[in-house]
Amino acid sequence: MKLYGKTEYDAITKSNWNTKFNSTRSLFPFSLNTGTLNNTYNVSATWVGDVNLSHSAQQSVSSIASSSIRSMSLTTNVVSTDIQASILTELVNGKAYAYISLNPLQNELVGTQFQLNYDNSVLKFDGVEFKTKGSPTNFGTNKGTYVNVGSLITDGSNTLDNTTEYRIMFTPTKNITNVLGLISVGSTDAVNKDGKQLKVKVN
Amino acid sequence: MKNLLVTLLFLLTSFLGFGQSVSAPDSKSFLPSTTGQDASGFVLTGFSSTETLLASISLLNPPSGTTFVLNTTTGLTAASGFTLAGNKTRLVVTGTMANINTALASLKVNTGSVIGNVQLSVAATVNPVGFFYNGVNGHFYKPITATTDRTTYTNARARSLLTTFKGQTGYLVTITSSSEDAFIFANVPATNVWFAATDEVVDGRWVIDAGPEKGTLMKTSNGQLNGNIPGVYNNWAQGEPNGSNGSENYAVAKWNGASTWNDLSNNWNNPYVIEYGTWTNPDDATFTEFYTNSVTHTNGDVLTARFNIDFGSNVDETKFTAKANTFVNNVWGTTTNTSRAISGLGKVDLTNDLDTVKVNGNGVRGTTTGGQVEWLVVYDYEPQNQRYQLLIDKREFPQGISPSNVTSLQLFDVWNGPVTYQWDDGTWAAYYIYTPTEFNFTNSSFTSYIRRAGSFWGWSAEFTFTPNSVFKQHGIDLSYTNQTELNTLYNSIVTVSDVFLAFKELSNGGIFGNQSGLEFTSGIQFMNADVDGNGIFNESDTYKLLQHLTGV
Repeated sequence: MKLYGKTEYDAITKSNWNTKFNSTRSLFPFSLNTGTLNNTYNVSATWVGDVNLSHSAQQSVSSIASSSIRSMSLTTNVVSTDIQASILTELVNGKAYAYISLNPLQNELVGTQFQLNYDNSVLKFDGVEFKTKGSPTNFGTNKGTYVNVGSLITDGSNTLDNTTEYRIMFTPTKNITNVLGLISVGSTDAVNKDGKQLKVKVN
Repeated sequence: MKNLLVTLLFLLTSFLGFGQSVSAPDSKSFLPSTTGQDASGFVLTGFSSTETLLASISLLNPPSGTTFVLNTTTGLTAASGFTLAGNKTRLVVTGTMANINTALASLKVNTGSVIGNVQLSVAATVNPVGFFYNGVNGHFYKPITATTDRTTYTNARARSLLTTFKGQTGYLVTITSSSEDAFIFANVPATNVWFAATDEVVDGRWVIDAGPEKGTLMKTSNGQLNGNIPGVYNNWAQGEPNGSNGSENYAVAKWNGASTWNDLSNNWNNPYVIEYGTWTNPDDATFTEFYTNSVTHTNGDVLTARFNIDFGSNVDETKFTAKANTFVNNVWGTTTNTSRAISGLGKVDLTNDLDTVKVNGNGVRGTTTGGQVEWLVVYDYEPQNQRYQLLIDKREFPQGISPSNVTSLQLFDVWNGPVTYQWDDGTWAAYYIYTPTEFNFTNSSFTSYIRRAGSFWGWSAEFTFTPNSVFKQHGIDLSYTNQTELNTLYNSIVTVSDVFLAFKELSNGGIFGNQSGLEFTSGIQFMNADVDGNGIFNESDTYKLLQHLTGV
């Protein structure tokens, strides 16, 4: 996390950002000015890696300008920014499986990500099998209580289609008769060829 | 055509109510044990001039002896339970915007000998008919008293939850303090009023049954005082609750018109009250079309440090805590090591954790008290230079204090800040005070010491000069609930769309270093994409982002 005084944060531009970069800190220095008793500090927070600013303070000037423009615009041709995903779980021959399949609808999908939560007191993560077209960078990383699984086509040269499927495999560490309640989808993310973040609707 | 557009815009903004707000004055320091100190500066704007508004003026947890008074109340009506005249810590009124603004301009604060923060809050909204506003907690209450609407406890509890008001879901009123009890007593024109308390699960074990306090244990056995939980408000009538017939499981306030409570069975059809609002501090209110603002003055010299932290819209602020730090001998260390919760609005107050011990700084500071001789002359404001020139008689400077070393002055309650040394001769030491606003002599508590004479003001002021001391460098350090949760949060912040966007920006022109590609619209994006923090966004950063994503 990086903290900035709001005034400083709002003044960061594409041409001066590299003079402000060295602020990897969750500690924000402030001065108590002699002669000023009531000190109020406005602070803006952002994160290293939050490139699309989804979890960062908005800069005041640009946000005001863009929102006022948007509020007056009329949209006649709405393109859905949703994609559909479905999850299926099953217990077969003593192994637990979760299948995530995608339907990008009309979106040119180049990246997906799912945090697949699992009960690590009952299940042990074994691995992920990917069914994807083209040559995306597929990832399936065990994070202890969830698996970070998805695909990314970094150059946007191809897209992910509705044949995309992830099979996440677990071994139960206790006797279970079904996997209900043991596996669920946490946060999700998806992005299209234009770099626009898409909503993932999980059925 | 242009006029038509302007008219349409005016009608649109009037209809939608754009621009309604309450502005607050800057903070100031009051003198202890002094009555009638100016606290004006709150202004309501943007409301219709003909509508009746509801306005609440509150002192939040003031030091003992601190009150406020409105010297002008023309056109105002005090809300039930309040009177316009006299010194107060809380006042709710109705009136037009103009009348309320006139009253706010006459707002005065009376201080006692106890120093501390004096937080004044003003809230305003169009007066909603049928609702009552409680200035203590910032909640609205809607009494349901019509004979046809009276119902059983369980119906009242369920019906309340189906209502919304100003964006808040209602709940059967809870009574958690004597002031809230008194508020209900004063404002609900009925007796035997259901409120959210029940022992329906275990007889005698009374719990709050709705709202943010739902489930809070109030008492563990029947009887007026039996088993009352310390710190939890109870106000039962003598001999109550008694669980009569084994079916009296629900509580009423204003029992038989008295100020105490009783338990009744569910077959009574009683009036009830719906409460709206879940916060305890009126400043945290999130009602729609409800406008509030506050200022924290001080009584005496109290140093404060308050923060408004903007985390963006997708981060839960309440998961963070804050600690005050100081930077001593090139090392950051905590002051009191106290973790302060951050509110849902990103607010946190570190006032009680500050290290107020000063260390030596540069220069000399002068302070003043009222005196007999005009040792100070202040010339008229120079608007073109935005400054005052002032002369201090050099006989006021003790031996060892050079006029050129004076860097700040406190001049009664008119100025407290930096000064710029100009020159000194055998008689006077001259300084400039640079300020964009003129001194407010009229509202000074020291007007009897300030004399107007031609183009200057003569001040009967005695000076005391002391070497400047400064506060240590402070810092606010944020922590998350725990490291595991922070890791999970971070993994949901930096996701596939961030990584792809970084690659796209890089391939569109950023690959040669600081050149701007086509995708990033803000410098913050470059800053955040520069993962290795070397001031250059390049392929090394995108590779690290990809590593984070794939967990390699």
